[in-house]
Amino acid sequence: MKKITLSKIIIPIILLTVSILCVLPFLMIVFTSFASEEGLMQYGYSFFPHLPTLKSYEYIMSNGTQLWSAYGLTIFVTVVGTFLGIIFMTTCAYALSRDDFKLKKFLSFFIYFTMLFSGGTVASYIWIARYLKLSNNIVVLFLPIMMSAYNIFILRVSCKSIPYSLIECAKLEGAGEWYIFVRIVVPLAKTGIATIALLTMFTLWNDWYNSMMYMDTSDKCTLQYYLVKILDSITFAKANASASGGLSQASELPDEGVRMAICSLAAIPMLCVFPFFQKYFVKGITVGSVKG
Amino acid sequence: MKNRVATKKKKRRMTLEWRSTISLGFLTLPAIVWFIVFCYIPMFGIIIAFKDFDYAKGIFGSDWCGFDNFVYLFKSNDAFRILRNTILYNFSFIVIGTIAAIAMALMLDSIKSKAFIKFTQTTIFLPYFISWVVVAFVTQQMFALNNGAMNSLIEFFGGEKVLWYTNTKAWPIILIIANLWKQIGFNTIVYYGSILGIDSSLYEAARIDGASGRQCITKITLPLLKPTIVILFIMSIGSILRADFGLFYYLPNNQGPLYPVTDVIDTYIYRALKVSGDLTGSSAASFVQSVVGLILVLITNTITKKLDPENALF
Repeated sequence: MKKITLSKIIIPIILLTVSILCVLPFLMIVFTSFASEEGLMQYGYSFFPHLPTLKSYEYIMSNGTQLWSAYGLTIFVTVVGTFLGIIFMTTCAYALSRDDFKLKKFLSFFIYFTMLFSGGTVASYIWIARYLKLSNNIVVLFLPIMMSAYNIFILRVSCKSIPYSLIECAKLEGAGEWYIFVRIVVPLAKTGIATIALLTMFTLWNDWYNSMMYMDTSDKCTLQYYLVKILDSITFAKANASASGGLSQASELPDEGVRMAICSLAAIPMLCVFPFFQKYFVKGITVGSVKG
Repeated sequence: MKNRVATKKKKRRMTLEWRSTISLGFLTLPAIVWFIVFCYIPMFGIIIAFKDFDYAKGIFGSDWCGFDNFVYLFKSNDAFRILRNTILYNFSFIVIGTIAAIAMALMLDSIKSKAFIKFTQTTIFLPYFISWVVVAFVTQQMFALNNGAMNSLIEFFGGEKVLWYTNTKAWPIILIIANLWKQIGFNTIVYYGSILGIDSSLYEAARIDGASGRQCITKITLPLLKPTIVILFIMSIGSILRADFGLFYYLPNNQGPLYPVTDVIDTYIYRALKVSGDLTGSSAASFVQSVVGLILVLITNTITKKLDPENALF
């Protein structure tokens, strides 16, 4: 009996510790964004900054044109990509969930196979850049990553949970497939759709890989790629500074506080969206969905 | 007469069935086209590994060169390094990640308070929604030489400053912790979801028979989690040669001295594509990544099928 009471105390403590460890870096970003250079110089680093200021945010507000245009592009890419991805994936998943769909087996395997085998990074890069000529075209920022086989199979499970008799009834009433899809399937499969919408949104919002591969010579820049550029210039400046013995380059860089402020601005939208979708998640992510 | 009516009816039913297949087919069309364009066509591009690639001539116009690319890759010191790093890191991610997630899910399941469960779920899931680039900003602050959080802490306890970005011993641990930190939320939710799906009458029956809490876990929960564990394991074996680019490229800041412990197949390919422009080694590395991945999935799946037919992936 004693053991149980002991675990009743220890388990919440462990969970709480893990929770805190998971949140700590975020708090660090936010707190450091209020740090002032003077405080850092005088007292060194501390978790709660000395002499906190709003200077970083003021600096961004007045000098952040690049940041705001990056924001605009990222929002556009995320919204369009999520919208198209969700429509195409859900329609496909719904068709694959119907037992009277004669191509079900074949198409399921067709999509499934892409999870097992791919042409690899090199072939995809050459195909998209050289043949599809999508370099420096903003379409490349969402088109290649807005769908995935895995997500379709998760959606298929949600669609399967809809009783077929409901669909049959609608059919007898003379409803077309599209009507059934919009009026019956979408409302009933909303758990799965919400889960996948969030995952897709998150992929698109956080993607820098496609920008880096295909948009590196373009003046258009997503939020994450903007961060990548700052990160690269810091690394570059540091290497230069240690080579020439001075920090002349580094002074042109945004200081620690500004960088962290930009980071918070880039991360916050996703963190705000997440809690709204959270209730769907536990039900939405079911692993059995990928069993062929 | 009766017969004719019957066949007519049958025919009508057939056309009706096909009609729904056709309209459902239309619903799948955009996705199918997408998979052809972005997944299937690049698959043929894999032959690039056997070609002396010339950007102007394209994939199909370039000259065949047999296994030259592979000879080049495996003669260089890079091949061993990137293969070893990729496989060892991914393997430790799988093992540590799975154990930690199951432990977390079991602990979460033992909690009664709904609010506390929700709180934990939300907080541990947050890192999953942050890109590696943002994480890299944090680690850069943490491991900075002057005024970095880690060095400040070390100095506070009277230690010597550490040059983190040349310290090859520290990075395997840092990368494993960072990956665990980022993935634990997602994996925990997956296992927690499976645990919630277990029929609660099983536990009630076990309790009546006098089973202890630990017995319930080892005799009911874990065996019923096995399908989930096996499926995720087979899938991750298939991608054991695919490294998380952002983790290995941005967290170590692409620092040369750290390459021995941070260079993986994906960073190697990226450097070849965008920095050096020489595809000789990387096209071969990319081929190995795809083909070996497929073979590994097929092997693990076949073994699973032999040992435990119900839990095989396909």
